[in-house]
Amino acid sequence: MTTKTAGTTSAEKNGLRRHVDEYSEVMRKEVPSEKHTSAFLPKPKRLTIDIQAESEQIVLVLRRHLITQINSVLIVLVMLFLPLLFSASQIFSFLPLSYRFILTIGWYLATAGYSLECYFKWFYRVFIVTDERIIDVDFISMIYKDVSTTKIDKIEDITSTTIGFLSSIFDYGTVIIQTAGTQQELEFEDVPQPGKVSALLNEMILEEELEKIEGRVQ
Amino acid sequence: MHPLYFPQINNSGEIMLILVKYMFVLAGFLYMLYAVLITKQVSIMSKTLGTTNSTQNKVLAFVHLVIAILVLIYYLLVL
Repeated sequence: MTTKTAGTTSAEKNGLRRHVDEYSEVMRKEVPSEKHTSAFLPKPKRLTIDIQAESEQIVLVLRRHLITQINSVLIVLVMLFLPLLFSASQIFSFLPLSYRFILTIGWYLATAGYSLECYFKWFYRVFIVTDERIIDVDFISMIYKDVSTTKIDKIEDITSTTIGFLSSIFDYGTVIIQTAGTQQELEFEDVPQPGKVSALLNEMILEEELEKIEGRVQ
Repeated sequence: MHPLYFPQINNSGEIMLILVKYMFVLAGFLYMLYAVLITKQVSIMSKTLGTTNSTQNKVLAFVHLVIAILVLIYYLLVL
């Protein structure tokens, strides 16, 4: 698959579409990300989405801030230490030793499975901003996946909110995007640097309008 | 001594152990299905979002599936 991020595409060469660094003050300061395990990925390299158009550039990929995963980490830690507690309290002492051993194996396997599920849910639940549209990939559970998109020129209003002590300390919050389409609202929940995301989206709306005025719309 | 202590098992104790055994095997089987689901879903999501970690994630899910199958086999053999 070809890389279409932060590079020079054929459309740009023809002067139809400008690179994000040319019109975005926010993105100009950002270094393209090589690693894809972060929650804030500006101009990611070698990252693709299946519904990506040929000339479409991925500008920003967002995940929930890592600190929001603290609940899952705590649950996993409790799960790891629970067998020791049961062993000390002799709750399962009525079971033969082999059964108790099997129970412990099963428990640790379930802990591993839960950790994996939490990681995959965090990793694949992404908000993608391209130079054409916004994509919200929801991976709520192992059997539920939802991909919603909205075009940049359909955005009517952007609100970013940071509520709470942790949000203020770690600079994360929710960006709410009101659209004119059938899907009235898109929410980027608990994303890092919501102010920056909001500023970028505003710059992109302006660029989209400029494209229309200058006749650069494809 | 605990009334359900293993050396003292009577008929009802044996029945309970058999029930526990079947519950373990059933849980192991259901867990294996869950591991299959994770592997399948990771594969689908890797197509939706192609990253440098896609292969690593697929391997992780596959290793988890293999361990789940091995645990199920172990349950069937030992219990």
